Amino acid sequence: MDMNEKEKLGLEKNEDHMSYHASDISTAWQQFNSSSGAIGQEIQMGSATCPSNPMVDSFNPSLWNHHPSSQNLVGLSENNAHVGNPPMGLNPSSFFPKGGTFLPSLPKIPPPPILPHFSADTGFIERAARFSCFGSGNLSGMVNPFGASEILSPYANPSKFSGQKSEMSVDEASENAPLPVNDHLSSIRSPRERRDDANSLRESAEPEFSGGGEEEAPNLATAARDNSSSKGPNAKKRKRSNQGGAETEQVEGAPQVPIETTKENMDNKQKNEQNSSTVGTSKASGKQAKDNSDLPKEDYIHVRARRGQATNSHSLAERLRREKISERMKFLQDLVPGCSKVTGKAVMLDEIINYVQSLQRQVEFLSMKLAAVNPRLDFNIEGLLSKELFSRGGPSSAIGFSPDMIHPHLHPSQHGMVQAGMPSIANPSDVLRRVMNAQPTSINGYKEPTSQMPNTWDEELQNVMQMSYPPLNAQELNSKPRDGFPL
Amino acid sequence: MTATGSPGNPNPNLSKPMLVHHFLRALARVNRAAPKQSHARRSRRIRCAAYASMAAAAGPGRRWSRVLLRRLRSSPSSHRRRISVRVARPPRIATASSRVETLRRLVPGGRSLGYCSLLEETADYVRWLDAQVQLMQSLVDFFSS
Repeated sequence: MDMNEKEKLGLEKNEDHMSYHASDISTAWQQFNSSSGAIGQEIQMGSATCPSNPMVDSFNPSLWNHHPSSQNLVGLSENNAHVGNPPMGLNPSSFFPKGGTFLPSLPKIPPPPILPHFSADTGFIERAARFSCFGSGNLSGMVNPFGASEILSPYANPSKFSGQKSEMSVDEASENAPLPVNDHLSSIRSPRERRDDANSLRESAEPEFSGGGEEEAPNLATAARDNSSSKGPNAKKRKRSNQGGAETEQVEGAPQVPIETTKENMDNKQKNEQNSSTVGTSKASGKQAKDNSDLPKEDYIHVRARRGQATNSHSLAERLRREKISERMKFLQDLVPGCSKVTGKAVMLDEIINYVQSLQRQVEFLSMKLAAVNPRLDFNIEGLLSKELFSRGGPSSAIGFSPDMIHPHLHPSQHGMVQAGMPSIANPSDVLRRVMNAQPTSINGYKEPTSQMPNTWDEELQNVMQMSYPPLNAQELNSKPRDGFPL
Repeated sequence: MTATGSPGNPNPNLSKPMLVHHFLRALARVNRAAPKQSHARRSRRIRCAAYASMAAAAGPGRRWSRVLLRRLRSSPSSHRRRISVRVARPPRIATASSRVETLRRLVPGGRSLGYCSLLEETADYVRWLDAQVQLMQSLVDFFSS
C-alpha cells in the first residue's frame, strides 16, 4: 500500500473506530456501506483514470473478466488504492453523472475491489491486530488467511471460487440496488468522511469473512482454506508480497504511531505484543507478521529503552555504542594524568593525544639517553638481566621498577644469595654472555657455581632460584635445569 | 614506583617483569650486535627494541601490539608501509574530527579502527607505554648514577 493512504488511516484511526462500531451494529448497513465504499472508490478510480463513460464501461467488464488471473486483478486493485486517494481533490459533483451511468455495471464491480483491498492492504491486518475491539478468538484464524494469502488463493483457483463468487455477486447485486444514492451521499459529504467510509469498508468487511452474519463469508473462508492446501504459485507470490508489505508497514509504524497515540503507548503496545500470552490469540497474526524484524530488537528493548527514548534498533545500538565510548573515556581519564579535571570530550581527547605523544617522545628521548650511556652498558645490562632474573620471583620487586630490583644487592632477603653467588656473578658478563650466546657453554658455566655452591644456602634462596629460573629455562635454556640445578 | 594500572583495570595482564625481561634482553642484543655503531643508529635500535619488547610483553591480544610487531619485523622503512596501510584502509564513515584522526595516527594499528575500539586500544597502549617509559627512566637513572 502506498504511504499516503497509511498516513491518512493513521490520522483518522479514531474515526475508524467509530465507524467500525457503527457498522458493527447493523451488519446489513455495513455490508451496504462496504459495497458502496467499494463502488465509490471504483467510481473515483474510473473518474481519475478514464474520464469518459464508455471507457469506464469498457473497463469494468474487463476488470470483471480478468479477475481469475489474480496478477492483473491485484495490479488493478493496487491501482485502485493508488488512485483512490488523489480523487480527494476531485470535485464530488463530478461523480454524479458518472455514478448514474455506472448503475447498470455496478453490481458486477464490488467483489473484485473488496478482496484485493484486503490483499493489498497488509497494513490493515496489523491494525486489526492492534485493535482491542477485534479481539475475538476467531480473529487469529480469520486474519491468518488474510495474512497468509489464503483469501487470495480463490483467485489462484478460479474454478472453485467462481461459484462462491457468483453467489456473492448476486447477493451484492440485490443489495447494491439503492447503492448510488448512498454513494452520492458519501461523495457529497466531506472528503474526510468519504475516506472514512472507505476505511470502514476495509474494517467492516472483515466480520463478513469471519463468519459473522452473512452466508457467503464462511463459504468464502472455507473455500479459501480449501484452496490454501493447493497453494498455487500465485498464492505464494502474494504471500511474499504480503510479508514485504507487513514489513514496510512496520517500518512506517514509527512515524504513524506518534500521531495516534503517545510514544509510551507504543512501547507498551510492543511489549504487550511480545510478552502477553493472554491476548496472544487475537494478536497472534500481527505478531507473526512482525516476528522477523522484532527478534533482534527484543533484547535491546528489554535492556535499554527508557521512557522518552527512541526504540528503533538503530538508536538503541547507537545508545549502546555511546555508553561504551563514555565508559572507555572514563577509563582513559583515570589513566591519563591531568585528564580527570577536564570536562568535555574534545579537551579530553586533546589531553590523551598529548599524553601519548609525550610518552612516545619520552621513549625516544630515553632511548637516546640509553644509547649515550652505552659504553658501560655491556657490563651493566647483563648484570641487570641476571638480577632481574633472580629477583623476578621475589614478591617485592616483581611489580614495580623499584631501585631494590635494580640494586638487589641491597635487598636484605637476597643478601646472602648475592654474596654466595658472587663467585659466579663477580664476572657476570662472562657467565651471562655464555648463558645467552651459547647453550652448551652455559651448561658448563652453570655447573661451576652449583659445584661451588656452599651448603649454607638456606631454603628461601633455593625457592627464589627455583622460582626465578623456569621462565628463562622455558625460553632459551631448555637443557639447562637438569644439568645446572641438581639440587 | 607503583604499578600504573588503576584498580578498575579491564585488562590486568600487564606484566612488568616480562617487560623488563624482554627489554633487557633486547638491550643486551643491541649492545652485542653493534658495539661500534653511531649514536643515532644505536638510539634508533634501542627505541625499536623498546617498542618491540613492549609489544612482546603485551602479547598478541591487542591490535596495537600485533601491528607494532609486524611493523618492526617487516621493514625499517616506514614510508612504503604507510602507503600500503592507507590503501588497505576500509572506507569509514567520515565522522571523525581531526583529533580522532590524530589519535588514530598515534596508536599503532589505529587507522582501521572505529572510534570505540580506538579508545580501548589507546587505553591499553598508554598503559604499556607508560610502563615502558618508567622502565627506561629507571634504567637511565641506574646507569647514570
